[in-house]
Amino acid sequence: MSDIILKSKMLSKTFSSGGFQQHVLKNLNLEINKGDYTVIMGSSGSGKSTLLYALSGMDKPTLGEIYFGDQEISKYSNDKLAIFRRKNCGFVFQQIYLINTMSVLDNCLASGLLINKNKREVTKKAKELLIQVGLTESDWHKFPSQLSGGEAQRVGIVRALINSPNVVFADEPTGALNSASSKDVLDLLTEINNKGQGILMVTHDIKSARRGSRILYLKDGVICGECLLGKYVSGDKQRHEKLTSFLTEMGW
Amino acid sequence: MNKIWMLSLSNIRKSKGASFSLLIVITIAAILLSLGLLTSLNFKKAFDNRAAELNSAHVAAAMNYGSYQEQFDTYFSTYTGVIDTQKEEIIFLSSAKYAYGSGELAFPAFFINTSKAKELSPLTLAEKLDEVSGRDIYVPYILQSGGGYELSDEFIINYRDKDYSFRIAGFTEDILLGSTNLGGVGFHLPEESYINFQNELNDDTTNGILLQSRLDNTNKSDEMITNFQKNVILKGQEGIASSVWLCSYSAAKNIRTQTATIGATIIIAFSLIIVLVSLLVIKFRVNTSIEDGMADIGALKSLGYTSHQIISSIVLQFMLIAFTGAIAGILVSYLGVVPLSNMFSAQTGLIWKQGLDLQSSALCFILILFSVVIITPFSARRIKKLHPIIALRCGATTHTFKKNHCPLDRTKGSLNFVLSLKNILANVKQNIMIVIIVSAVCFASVFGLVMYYNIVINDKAFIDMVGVEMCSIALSTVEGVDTAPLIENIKKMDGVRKAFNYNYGSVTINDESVQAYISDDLALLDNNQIYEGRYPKYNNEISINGSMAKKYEKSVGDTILVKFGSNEIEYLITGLSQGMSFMGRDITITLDGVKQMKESYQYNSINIYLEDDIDVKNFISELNQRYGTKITASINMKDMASSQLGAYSSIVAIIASIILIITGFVVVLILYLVIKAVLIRFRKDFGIQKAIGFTTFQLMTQTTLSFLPVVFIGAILGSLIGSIYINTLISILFKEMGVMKVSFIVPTLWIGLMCFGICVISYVVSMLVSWRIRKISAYLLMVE
Ligand SMILES: Nc1ncnc2c1ncn2[C@@H]1O[C@H](COP(=O)(O)OP(=O)(O)OP(=O)(O)O)[C@@H](O)[C@H]1O
Ligand SMILES: [Mg+2]
Repeated sequence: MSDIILKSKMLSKTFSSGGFQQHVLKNLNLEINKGDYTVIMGSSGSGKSTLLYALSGMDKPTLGEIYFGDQEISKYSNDKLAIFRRKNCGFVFQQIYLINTMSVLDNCLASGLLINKNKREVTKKAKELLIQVGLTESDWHKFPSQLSGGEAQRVGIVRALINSPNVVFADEPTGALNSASSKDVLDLLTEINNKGQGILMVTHDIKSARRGSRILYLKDGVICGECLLGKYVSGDKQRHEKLTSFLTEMGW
Repeated sequence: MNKIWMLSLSNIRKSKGASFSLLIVITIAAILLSLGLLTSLNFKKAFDNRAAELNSAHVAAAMNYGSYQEQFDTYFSTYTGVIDTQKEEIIFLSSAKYAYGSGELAFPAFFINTSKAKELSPLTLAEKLDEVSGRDIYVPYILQSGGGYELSDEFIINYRDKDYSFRIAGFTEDILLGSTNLGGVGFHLPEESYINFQNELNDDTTNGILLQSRLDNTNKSDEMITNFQKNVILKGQEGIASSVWLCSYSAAKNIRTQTATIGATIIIAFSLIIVLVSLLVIKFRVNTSIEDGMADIGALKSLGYTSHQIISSIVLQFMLIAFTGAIAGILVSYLGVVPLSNMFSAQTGLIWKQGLDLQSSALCFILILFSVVIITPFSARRIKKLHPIIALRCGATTHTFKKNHCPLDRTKGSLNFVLSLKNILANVKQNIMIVIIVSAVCFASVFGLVMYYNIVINDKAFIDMVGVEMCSIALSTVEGVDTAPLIENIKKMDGVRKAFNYNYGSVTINDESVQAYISDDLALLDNNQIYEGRYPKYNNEISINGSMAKKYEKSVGDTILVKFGSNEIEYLITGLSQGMSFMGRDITITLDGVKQMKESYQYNSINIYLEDDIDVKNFISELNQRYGTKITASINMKDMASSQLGAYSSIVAIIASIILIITGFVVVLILYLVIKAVLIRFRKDFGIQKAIGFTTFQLMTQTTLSFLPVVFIGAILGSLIGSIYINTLISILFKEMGVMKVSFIVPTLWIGLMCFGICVISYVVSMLVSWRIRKISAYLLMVE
């Protein structure tokens, strides 16, 4: 299918520390379609983050191939991966990771200006996005340490979106947030997805997972189950039940 | 206490590289400081001890029979304080020439018969041959350490154009007679050799007397000599004064320990700069480690650690490093004493053996530890104000974000450039620290470079500082010869640039014997020593050395009483001069000025200056051919200076070279330390930037751009301050010795190159350190 944007073949990741080898991902095969909202779940330490970072080119797999579109990114050098990332991937992290010495606006621009040299255009887009996530002009010149967790994460999302990436990778984007902030962030991601950008999200949280259209369950280094939920519509009771029963079946 | 130790040790372990580099810098500082202190506190003491061991005389007078008078002997044995006296017959050559180092020396030489056992200054040999021959000679140790002679070498003495050959059978240690810097040198000859030499010379005028006395207090030695000149010699025949060679223990001690004093001063000054740099680096490290470890500090505080405990752990961390460095440095410095002592011996002619010296080691240790104890808590004091929550929440972000410097949307320039600019401005405090550190390091380098340049490459300024008037030939005329027509004739000879009268004498000021330069042609001097006012012109004027002016609280315009012979006259001070050749005890006066004190005084020395391409040796033989009857001695000054100053220069040159090498090393270490600290600090930001798509190259460019300008400013600042104040610094260092004005050349090109070099080194180090980021994935950088 030409719709496949991300594909892994026999993907393995092994960590060795102190003489011990830990096989976190084992010959994992996975295909993700363009524009999909995919959620990866699994118990703590099952390798969800590891998988996410391998797929997004943030970390290199030990073995196996990863394709983004028709390019094999697992062959890329670190620098080539960096250039690949700035064009194709957006990242939202649990710890948010904004650059502390830069203002909100600059954090977004630092990413945006990597691709588009036109300051005015990028600034305009950043401001639009910031307004869209509910950050008003008074927030733009604050520093990350002056923001609440939810606000900071929304800045993170703007930074992830500024280059209109094909896929937004999110590692527990709501992990550090209270429920009200969480909802804002999740709504935002849904909105992005509705506009056609793909999302690959790792989460622990059923409320977050419910937003996805396809849930993958990771266990012992392989995908051991999959649950298709279809497009998210708010207040869908059935959807919730389907997901919980899937998770129970997986031994959640 | 246990917990604090654990924290400190884990901090050291966490920053192994930085701790180790700091340790090395402190060790180097300790080595130098300890060496300098060891030398300055012990060298003179060692001199006294050795003199006591050698049962050295404290006052000596040597002369030929013609000048000797009975009352000299009486004076030497009955002067108050004399506890022992000795009179012996010697061979006295008023001016003997012999090769020394790369040049030639021409001094009065005394030959002592070793066959008679002596109480005072008995023959003591540092090295000797076992078998004897009929032409053996024992020469002062300095002829080995400075003159380049070895045992059983041939030693040729030229007296009145005739060569006398000896074989060196040993090297002597003698306090008063064993230095080439005291005007006269004593040699010892075994009986057979002595008689042979006497027969060869076959000249009654070479028979002489050596008087030596030992005093109950060495401080009286100067006074005894002064009184001797004043009350005994000058009351006798006129003209004898200049033919009696005199030496006091104080003069010998001052002059024979001078290089060691200079060396120690330079070493201490330099070590203090390095100590200062290490303190700055410690302050910098404390700052960065607090900022980087903010979250940890918050965590510790929330666990219930008090600020005091946390600060103690930081203090302890640096104390441990300083302690290890100081101890290691002090230990190593004792190994350094041996080469240093060998080096000094080229000028001092002394064997200096230094055992453990608790005083200087303790002083060095305390100085280093104390400064660290002061600076560390001072730098760490802000931990007290830190609230645990703020520490925890801010993590590394302790910057007070008052301003977002160079907003990306409005600042012109490429992304990398603007980001670097932001970095520079966001870390102003840290950058100021870096500027200060680099300036200090640069200042040290300028110090090393200027020393090296002016001593090794172009020693004119150094010779000026020592205060020697460098003519080509110093001519002494026979008593009673009218020098004016002689000068006129010499001026007509080929290749003579200038020639004028320049006498040396000894006068008394405040009961202190002072060197006097006498001339009416002071404007012709190559080396103008006046740093304030002018040379004397009229018979009531005088210029005095600045250090005397300071001692007697005189300045230009004041008057001063000068005594020569039995007359004391008041002169007007018109200028202050500098120069360390007589420890800052010298004056300059006109001939008419001297005549006020002694009507009969006449010129008897001429300075001759030749064009550069004239062969001095040939010129001297031509002089002797033409005017031989009027001349008593003609000294090739360049040769003399190269052998006398050569010893100074080569010692100071070695010190300067060592300083230069150490500076280079310290510069690299410190740049490494600082750059690494900065990069560790940026690591997380780098991780984030890498994650959002910055390439390693972009990050490296950013580091370079945000780091190099800071280093550059520091380098320029340090070099400027160094270039401007180096001469002041050196003159302060040597003020005691009579150096008032130093005009060392500041080699701009060299210093420019050094700045460039420091920038290049910083660039390379920053590239090397940031290169390591390349291999680390964005993910790891961020989560680390
Ligand atoms: N850099 C590393 N070095 C060694 N082991 C690692 C490293 N990173 C991850 N691991 C190990 O790999 C395993 C998977 O880690 P990963 O972070 O992917 O788990 P996760 O599924 O995201 O867990 P969580 O839900 O708790 O975030 C863990 O056991 C972890 O200890
Ligand atoms: Mg995880």
